[in-house]
Amino acid sequence: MNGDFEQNIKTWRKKYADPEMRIDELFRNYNISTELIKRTPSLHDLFDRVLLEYIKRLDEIPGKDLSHPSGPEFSEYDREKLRSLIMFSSQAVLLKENSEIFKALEEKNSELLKTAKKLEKANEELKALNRQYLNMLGFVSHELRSPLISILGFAELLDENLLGNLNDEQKKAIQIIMRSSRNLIEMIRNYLDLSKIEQGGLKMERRPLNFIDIILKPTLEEMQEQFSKKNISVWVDSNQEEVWLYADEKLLKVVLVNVISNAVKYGEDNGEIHLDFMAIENNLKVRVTNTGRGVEKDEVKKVFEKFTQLDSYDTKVGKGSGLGLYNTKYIIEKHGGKIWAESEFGKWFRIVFQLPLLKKHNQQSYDNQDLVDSHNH
Amino acid sequence: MEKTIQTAEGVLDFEKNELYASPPRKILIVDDEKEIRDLVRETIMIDNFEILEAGTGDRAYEIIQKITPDLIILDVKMPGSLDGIALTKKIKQNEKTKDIPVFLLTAVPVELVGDSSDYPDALFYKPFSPMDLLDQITGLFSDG
Repeated sequence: MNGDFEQNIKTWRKKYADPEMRIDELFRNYNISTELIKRTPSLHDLFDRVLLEYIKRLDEIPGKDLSHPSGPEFSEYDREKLRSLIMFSSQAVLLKENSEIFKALEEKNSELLKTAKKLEKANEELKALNRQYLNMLGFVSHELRSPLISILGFAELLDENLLGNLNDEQKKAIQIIMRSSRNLIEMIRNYLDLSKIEQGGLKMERRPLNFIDIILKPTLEEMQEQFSKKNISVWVDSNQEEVWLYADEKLLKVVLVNVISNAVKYGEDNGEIHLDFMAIENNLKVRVTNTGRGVEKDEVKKVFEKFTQLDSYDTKVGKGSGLGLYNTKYIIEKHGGKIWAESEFGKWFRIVFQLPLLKKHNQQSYDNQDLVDSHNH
Repeated sequence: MEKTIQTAEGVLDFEKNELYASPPRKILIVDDEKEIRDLVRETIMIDNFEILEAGTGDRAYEIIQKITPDLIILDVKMPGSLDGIALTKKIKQNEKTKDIPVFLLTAVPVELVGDSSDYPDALFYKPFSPMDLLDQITGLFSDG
């Protein structure tokens, strides 16, 4: 090490008049490619100037034999300075290398930016396509609705023998027409909800509302026909006499209709639906459970996915849109709530959702906390 | 059901071979969608009524100015300047027409606001049951 050091000083001393040579030498000695440093004129200049300056200063020390830099006329200070210079040179190279890397990175970066821009454009196109698709979905669904309502209505008139008496075979056929039309109308309702939701057209108009009087009771009344058609008995249970939410009335009805329709659709004939709700801390928790075959464990989560139709159901139930619970989840989450499903395969299926209670009425739910706890264990 | 035929003057009864002394009640059906008008008309024709039809709220308003129907069955969503709710309001706020019962058909939940005297007399959600509609109409006319 020491020998190298002295050798270097000698070489620099000899060649300092030719900076280009000097630097080449330096880098060769330190296994540094001069090509690198040459590509950065400013750095090269800087290094050159510093080196030149320093060696000149060494020359000014009287009686110094520069051919023997380790001799006594060289102070430790001088040696340190030279060491720093060498350090500096390698630092300079590192800087240079970094700048090379940086340049390469910048190139890569601009390439990435270009790609990102392309992707952004593609994304915009896809979004436009999606909007078109949703518009069409909305349009088609809307156009299909009225003819279907007409079909269902006429089928009902026939079924009630209001257009003449039907024999048993005809009655059976008419009932199939009615069931299929109802399924289609339900599907279309979900498609319309989806196209509104995804186009941001589903505006929330939240206000304080009484869940039991405004949402629950009217919805259950509206759905009475669905229950009686499958001879399903509905049980409602709660420890609350009043529940206040800050919510959109129409959307919350959509939620309840979807969840209960689901229970009717996938519940067994002559089965039961249990709807219970309770206030727990700051939330209203609603559980809708239907008896029936339920859903296998790994399929439970899937029920909220878009366009999901579980394989475990045969076509006898009739295909749904695969959107009802997807839309429901969207609405619940928009209200700051949570929704999930539970099931015991072969026995029951349950949707649970939770919505924040209206703040100023929270006190009331705390008052009932004892009841909730005893109810809950 | 008796064998009858509709004429411009009223209902001709083949068995009695005469025109009814009192003309049948007139019902105006307003819906931009023909399928729904067809359904409502066929439902109502089960009993003997005279049917008038309009495809827009504006056209319905013109008809009401000339003929006073005994009942108006009205769709909420219609093209033109008058939708079902606006037309109901117009009918209910006019001294001449305010006593005509209005049944409103709707596909989406309707929020009734303002003076309750402007409200429709009945609200049917699509898909509605034709039997319910018929029951309501019979109920309406047997009471009156």
